[in-house]
Amino acid sequence: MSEYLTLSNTNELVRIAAESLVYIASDGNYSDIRTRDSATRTVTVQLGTIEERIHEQLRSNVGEFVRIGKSLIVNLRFLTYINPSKKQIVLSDNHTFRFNLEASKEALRQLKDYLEQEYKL
Amino acid sequence: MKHFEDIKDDEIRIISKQNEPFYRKWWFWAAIAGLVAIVVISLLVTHKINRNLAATMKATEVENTPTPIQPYTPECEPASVLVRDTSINDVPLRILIPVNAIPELCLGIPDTTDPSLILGLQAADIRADNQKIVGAFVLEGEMLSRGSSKKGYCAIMNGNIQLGMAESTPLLEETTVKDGYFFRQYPLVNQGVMVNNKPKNKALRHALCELNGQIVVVSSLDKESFHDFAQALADMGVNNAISLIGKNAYGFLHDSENGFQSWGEDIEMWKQIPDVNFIVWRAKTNNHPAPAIH
Repeated sequence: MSEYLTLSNTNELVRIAAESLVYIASDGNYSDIRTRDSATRTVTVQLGTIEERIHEQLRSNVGEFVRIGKSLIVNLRFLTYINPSKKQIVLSDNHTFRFNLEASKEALRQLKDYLEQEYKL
Repeated sequence: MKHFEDIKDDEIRIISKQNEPFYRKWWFWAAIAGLVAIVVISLLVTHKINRNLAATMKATEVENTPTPIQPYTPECEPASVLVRDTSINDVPLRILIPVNAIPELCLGIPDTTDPSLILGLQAADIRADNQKIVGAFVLEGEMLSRGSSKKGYCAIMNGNIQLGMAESTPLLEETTVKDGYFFRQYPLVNQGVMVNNKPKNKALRHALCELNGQIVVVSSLDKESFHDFAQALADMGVNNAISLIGKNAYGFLHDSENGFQSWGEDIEMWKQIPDVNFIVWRAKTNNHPAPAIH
């Protein structure tokens, strides 16, 4: 059964299938939600609030979401490449989409360490 | 409360952790270990209960079994009569099992003071009108009476009893040749099947029975009809049985275990009838006789 991330403010309500979420980038008081179909939906919800909704609503096996710094949330299910020194992180399904993103060197190093520990590398 | 805005650019925070496969979680293996422990403990407890139950059932079986499954006749044991009481179909029964003794017939009242005689019961019926034996009767090879008005028979040869039901049997002739004994009575059980007889009255009953390959005497402790008595014998597992004289017939047993016991009409009454006859069991000569009666 699909899970949905549901976001709401005074003007709108947005439901996005959690399994299609790739990443969410902050742009001040706005957030851009990128999905597997490469579409971008901009919502007037701060990234911190979205993080809170993900924490509250997405409990099952739809993916592992990580907040990276102040401006990015990624779904680790689609993480295919990470290079802290280049501040580069790539999210892709190796088929229909590929997103090259940038984050701080230190944040990506922590993420790399975390993944290495998780996968016992 | 968690402050989701409180993060720096050089930090990360895990928001929702993907579920691990269940087999990677500690509680899964703890649950498996618990289940295994429960199963092992249950098996051990069940095994112990079954062993105790089997032992209890075995002990109960031994206590309740009215007759021994296998004849117990060690030659060194004295002749005796094992007495077992039981109840089949609400018919209380007493089973008398002669041990280390040889059966024979005798005419007239047996010498109850003879310590070698351990058990005796009246065998063939006596006619009321002429006080003669009813049916064929052979005593030590001599045929004292003829007739087959009752189909049940008992033939004794070489110390072995054969019971059956037939209007004529070659065993009658054989007993006369081999110095055996023969008498007729009502058949009660034939090849494991109860046999119906005409008399319907209730009385104390005695029967000569083949039970588990052993010859035993079974007596009813209450007054019973032939039908109920015979059915109880059949249900008890008797293979063949014929009646012995019931009602007020005289009988006795005598061994070191039970002492001397008798039942039925006073023996003096039966002494008036010359053809009164008994089947008796005499201790084997190499065994210790029962104590003398004083």
